[in-house]
Amino acid sequence: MGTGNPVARGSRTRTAAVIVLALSMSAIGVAYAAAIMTGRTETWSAWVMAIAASCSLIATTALGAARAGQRLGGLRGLIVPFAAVLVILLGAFAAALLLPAAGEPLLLGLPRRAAIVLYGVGILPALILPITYALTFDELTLTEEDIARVRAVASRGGSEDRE
Amino acid sequence: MIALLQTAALPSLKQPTIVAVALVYFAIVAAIGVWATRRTRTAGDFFVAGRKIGVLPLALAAMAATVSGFVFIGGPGFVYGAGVGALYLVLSASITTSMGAWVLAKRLRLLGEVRALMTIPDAIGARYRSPSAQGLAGAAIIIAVVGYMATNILALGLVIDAVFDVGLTAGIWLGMTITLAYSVAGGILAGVYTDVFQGTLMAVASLLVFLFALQAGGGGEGLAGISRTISAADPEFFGPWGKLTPIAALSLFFVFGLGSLAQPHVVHKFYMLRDARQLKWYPALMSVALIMTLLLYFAVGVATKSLVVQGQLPPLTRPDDATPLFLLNATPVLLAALVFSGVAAAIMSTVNSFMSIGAAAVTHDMPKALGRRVSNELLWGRVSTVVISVLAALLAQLSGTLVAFLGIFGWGLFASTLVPSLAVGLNWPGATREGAVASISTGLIITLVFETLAYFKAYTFPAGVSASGLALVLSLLVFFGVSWLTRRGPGAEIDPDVRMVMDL
Repeated sequence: MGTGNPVARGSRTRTAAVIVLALSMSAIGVAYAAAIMTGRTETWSAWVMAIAASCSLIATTALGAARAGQRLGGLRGLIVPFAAVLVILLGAFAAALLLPAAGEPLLLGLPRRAAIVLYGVGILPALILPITYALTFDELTLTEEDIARVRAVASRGGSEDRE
Repeated sequence: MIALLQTAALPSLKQPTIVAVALVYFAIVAAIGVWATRRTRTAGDFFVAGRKIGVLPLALAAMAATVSGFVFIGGPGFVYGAGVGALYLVLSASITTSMGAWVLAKRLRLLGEVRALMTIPDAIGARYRSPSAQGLAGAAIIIAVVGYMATNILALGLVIDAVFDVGLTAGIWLGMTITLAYSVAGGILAGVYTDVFQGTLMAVASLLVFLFALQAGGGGEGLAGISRTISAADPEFFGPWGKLTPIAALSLFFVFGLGSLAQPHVVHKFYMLRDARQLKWYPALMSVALIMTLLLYFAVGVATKSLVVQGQLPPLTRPDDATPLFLLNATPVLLAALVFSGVAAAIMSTVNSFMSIGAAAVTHDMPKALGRRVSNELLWGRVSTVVISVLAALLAQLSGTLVAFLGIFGWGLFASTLVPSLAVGLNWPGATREGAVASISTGLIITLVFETLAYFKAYTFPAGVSASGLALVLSLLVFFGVSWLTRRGPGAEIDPDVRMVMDL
């Protein structure tokens, strides 16, 4: 037999992540629909895409990191790095959309707006997220207790009462 | 959507050093294949490498399978033509390796241990207690694999033809035969260890090319010199969206970011890890390897553009000539030879991974969906590897321009069918069997209809909208909607062992 009504047992963190993901998909869907119906892309749709694409990636990451039965879905210690990456993404895309093109100085060898996008979106998260993953792994992602539970179930050949 | 792989002939690369390095490369791949063959005794060895892989081989093999020949040939050409806009296709790599670790790596690895799973559709079947969902996912994978493999095998044929001057048909069959030989004999074990060799080759060669590109394109000033040279002649190139519209660039970022979770030839490798605790360093290792390899994508594109602006290279008639022209004119021939072997490596590692998951879908997932079990999965795994490969090679040889469509179709199909049911479903207890089946069906139909309409030019999406993106969005929305509507039905139930893994 299954566990029944699993929705009610899901953590609020997971539900929140799924809601953000669903809203992001709806927003991207609206941007796509507007482009398809008018045959061109509006300025607002770039903002929608920037916000929704960034939120969808971070929401999905948070959904994966969340654990059941723990306060904040077990995300304590991960909220700050996830929020930091989201702010970096949104900030970089906003800078790309808002900063003037004329007279751009070079920043680390690239024109300013390109540098903000490439270093901000392409490099900074690659420094923050893998290090966060490694530093929090033993405590938040996979504990010795988790391993023991899995091995106990595996040694019994999985779920004894599954179909 | 851009073509994901090379589909037009490359300039001739037939030089003694390039040929010699390519021969050495193929000899090493063959030696690894022989070694792995001696260690492949069971279906578990053939499909999941006996679950004995360490984290470094896992990271390198996953990187090699992620990176196709596009990163070496089509990608720099895309940068040459579209400037910074082309980078949005790979920018999300800074996030996707960690996202994949949190979303899929731990749960797939643990579920694989609890249920002795071997395939991605296995995980879908277990999650939803549904052979039909498993069969549908298996069918989507088979369709996508044949199409994507055809594109890759054509690209491999073009590279072999350019290096050895043997003709395209011979190149296709030679490339397919070499990859098939080690895949059939050594299964995924051979695939993983050739991937380790190939991934190392790709990363090291890319890093060296990056350094040469900064020197050659920047005239001693490095990246700043390249930026000044190009911006003076073509200010749009280094704009934040390059020559794409903002929505087109952001759409690439979104589709290739979220879609990265649905590449079965990559995520399938999580089953192979010896000890789940080793995942701790997977994102760091994978990120370093991936970013090293992607340096070539960026650097060759901008350096070639800079050299063309300076008049040191003629304007390219086709953007895809950027890598061969740059390497042959601006780097030592030995490095060029290593990169061309790296191109073959990238394609072969991807093809090998596809062979494995395609064969597993045929011999394991489809019979399971029909309530049957193949008695000798190792033997039939080898047979179906051959059949799928021959089919893909025939498609590559006979389908003409259709082959580019097949590659795009395959990629889009993976994303739209597996992101909801696998990536979200393994983490969200609210997902239901009906939601999974509806979203996989939506992904199949939307991708097939819109990619076909686009291919036959019956409908053209506005810039920034792609069939892959649309199918991904719609399949996710259908997944959420149908799951919510059926949340109180029997399809919402989850087996206790699966639920335990989802809750960890």
